[in-house]
Amino acid sequence: MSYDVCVIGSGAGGGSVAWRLSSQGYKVLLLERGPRYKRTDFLKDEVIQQRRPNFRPLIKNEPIIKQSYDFQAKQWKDERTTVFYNGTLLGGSSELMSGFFMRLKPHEFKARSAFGQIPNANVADWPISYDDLEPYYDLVEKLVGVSGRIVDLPAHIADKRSSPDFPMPATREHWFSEQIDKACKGQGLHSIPLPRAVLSVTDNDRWPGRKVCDYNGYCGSYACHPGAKGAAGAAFIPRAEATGNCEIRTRAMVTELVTDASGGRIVEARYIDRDGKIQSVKAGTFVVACQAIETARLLLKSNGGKGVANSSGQVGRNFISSAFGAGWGEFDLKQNPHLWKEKDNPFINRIVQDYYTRPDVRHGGGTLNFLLMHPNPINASTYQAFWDSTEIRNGERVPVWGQALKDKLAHYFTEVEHLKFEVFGNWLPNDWCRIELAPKQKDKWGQPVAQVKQYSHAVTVKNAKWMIERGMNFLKSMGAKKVRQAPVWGTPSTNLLAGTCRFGDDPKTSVLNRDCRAHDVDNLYVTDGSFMPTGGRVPFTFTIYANALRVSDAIVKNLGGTPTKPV
Amino acid sequence: MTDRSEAPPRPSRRTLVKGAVAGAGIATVAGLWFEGFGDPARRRRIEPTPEGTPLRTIPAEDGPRLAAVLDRLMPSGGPKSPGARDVNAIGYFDALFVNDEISDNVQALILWGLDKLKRQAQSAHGTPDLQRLDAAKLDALIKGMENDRDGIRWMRATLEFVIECLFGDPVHGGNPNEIGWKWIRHRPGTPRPLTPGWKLEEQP
Ligand SMILES: Cc1cc2nc3c(=O)[nH]c(=O)nc-3n(C[C@H](O)[C@H](O)[C@H](O)COP(=O)(O)OP(=O)(O)OC[C@H]3O[C@@H](n4cnc5c(N)ncnc54)[C@H](O)[C@@H]3O)c2cc1C
Ligand code: SF4
Repeated sequence: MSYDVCVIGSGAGGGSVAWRLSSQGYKVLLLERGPRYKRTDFLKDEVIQQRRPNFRPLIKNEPIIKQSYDFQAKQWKDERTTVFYNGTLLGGSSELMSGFFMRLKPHEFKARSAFGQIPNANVADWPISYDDLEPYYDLVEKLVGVSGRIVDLPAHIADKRSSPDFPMPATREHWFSEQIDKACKGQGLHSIPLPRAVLSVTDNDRWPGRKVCDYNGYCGSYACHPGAKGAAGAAFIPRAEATGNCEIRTRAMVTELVTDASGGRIVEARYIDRDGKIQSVKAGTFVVACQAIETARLLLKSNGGKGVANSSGQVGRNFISSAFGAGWGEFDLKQNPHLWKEKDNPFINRIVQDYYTRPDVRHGGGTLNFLLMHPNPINASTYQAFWDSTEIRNGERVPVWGQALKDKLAHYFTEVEHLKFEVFGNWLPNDWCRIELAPKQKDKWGQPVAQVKQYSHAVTVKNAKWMIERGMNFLKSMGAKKVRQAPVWGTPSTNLLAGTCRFGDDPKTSVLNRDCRAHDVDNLYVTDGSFMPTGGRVPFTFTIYANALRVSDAIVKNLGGTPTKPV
Repeated sequence: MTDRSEAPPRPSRRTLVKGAVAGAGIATVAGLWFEGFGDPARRRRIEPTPEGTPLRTIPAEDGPRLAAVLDRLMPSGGPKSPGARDVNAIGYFDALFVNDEISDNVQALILWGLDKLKRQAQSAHGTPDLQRLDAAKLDALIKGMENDRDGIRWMRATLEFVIECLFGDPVHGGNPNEIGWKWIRHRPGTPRPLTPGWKLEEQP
């Protein structure tokens, strides 16, 4: 059987496209390498969801090679990992996200024109503008379900919106949220309610089959039992299946796209099925959305290793991330006993964007996002025991153990509550942060695995430190005791991945055109975060969803159709 | 010509950083010790060995030795402040060693560390029976593990699973009567698992 469209990868970038095109009457095949689970099985069990291998491949079967440059030895150093796979299941990593949904600011689309180039960075303008994407941000709010609240903000911070309000009220909030509002007011800063891809209401007409969030706090890194989180597997895939036009195959690992003799059209996708057999799929159009690393890997190893869509040599280049630091402070529970009750309100949902840009540092600045520490106790305790240890010997953190550890845990869990911030900023794209095929290492099917070169631009690091300082000062201003910061994340945050197939108008310097169609290949689109030449100062998923829906409309038009209004 | 992309610009001392974690609310930073999913049908898993019954995978003579070490890493203090013995950590480890969701390297690492401690006890105190040393002597041996990288890795791996046993849902065989959670006043996420040994079932 031949399909109109074959979508590869079922996460944010793939699940959304599969729904849009199947709802427009096209026969869609969605191929996903991970397993499919029942949503009602997503119990909030730290052992099963975090500590057992349900959402990632085996490291011995499918390692990714992570490389960092060793300036002493003058060579790249390898480490085998699977962390970059994030969520390998139907719905992809979007199943495990926190759903912090911030729009890019209009100037992010023209970062190079607005802020210029700087040495050793590859900043480029986007070929589209904020106005091209805005209708789709709006659509995502309605379809995926984004809860939030509009407040008065100065024009340079406020989102430019086509609809006056969010489709549903903001979620319940923690006591800290109001304290942040007050502290901001006192300092001339603006406290912004953070939009969340989390349902604050149950509304079966608008968000069928999904229920309101149950506020249990096990959110980021956990798949969502009621389907409140706007994951692709909750918001799009059931809708796609309901059209009767979308067939889903899980445990289908796509290994290669094959072009015709001219190289200008994909004729077939090959995948390895759950029984280890090689299968072939024919379709009129192919959409790749395997997340930035695996998308680059697939394109590079396609066509018998010759690659596809890579006449520019840019596939895999300019790999970017967006998060680069965190800090937290303690609030005494004896002095604030009401904080025990606040455990029912695990969301703080406040961001500060007054430092979004910096006059003194081009491409500097960022977003401060406030949150609670994650409640899962195994992770929190291992953090206290290892990563929070201040004693370093032979380059390793010496664990805290014995009675000292017990005292530390008792303090952490029962004497204080923590207010935390994370920093999102501009990860400057550069030549040394990129994806390649590992020269030697193969996966269990004999396919070359991805090799991730990691390198952060000096400005990224300098700016991260500056932002963290802002966050730390803010926590202190709120009366936090014992303020701590995590080490600056000098390598891409493992869960926020983009770039590697940037879009642009010039086929010599970009992989995709403004419709995210490959310059070189008529019927190949990429709809995950790979298209992004720059990532801005917010996490990516809202933008990935919006762009994937925009590209879906371009695909419909390219197939001779007229996209109908979805809501 | 050298490929400009090969050697990146050297960071100045001020901008040099180490380590990578993840942002946007990621809740797991460790997770070094797990194999990813294989074929779920072929996965092997057994329930933790109940207290007072013979161990099934750890050699009989090593059981009390490892149990003693675990209890120094996380000392027992009774129901109000439980540690390794209070949650039958040795029974948990006994099951862990045949759980093929846990990397073989971890199991090898934990046993490697135990052997090293046994050898040191033999030479310093004339016995490999770590359980017969007093707390100060055993602590001194464990402290010695901090002196090299492998020792530190051993300590992390071992401690990580003691913590798992202490704070995991009781359906997994640790944390009896939720004593670990009660100690830290933890409120578990919901909905909670109800059946011992449950796992995520893959759908076709
Ligand atoms: C813990 C956590 C918290 C996060 N929090 C936030 C947040 O608050 N806000 C935010 O904006 N973002 C957040 N993110 C990031 C967000 O999940 C990603 O940005 C988003 O899911 C990326 O979409 P994607 O389509 O690129 O990739 P994914 O959603 O990962 O989808 C890719 C899919 O492709 C499949 N695949 C890969 N290779 C193949 C192949 N060869 N054949 C077939 N299938 C394949 C994968 O298994 C996967 O299902 C978070 C992520 C994590 C892990
Ligand atoms: S129920 Fe709420 S807190 Fe839990 S995962 Fe879903 S959205 Fe997050």
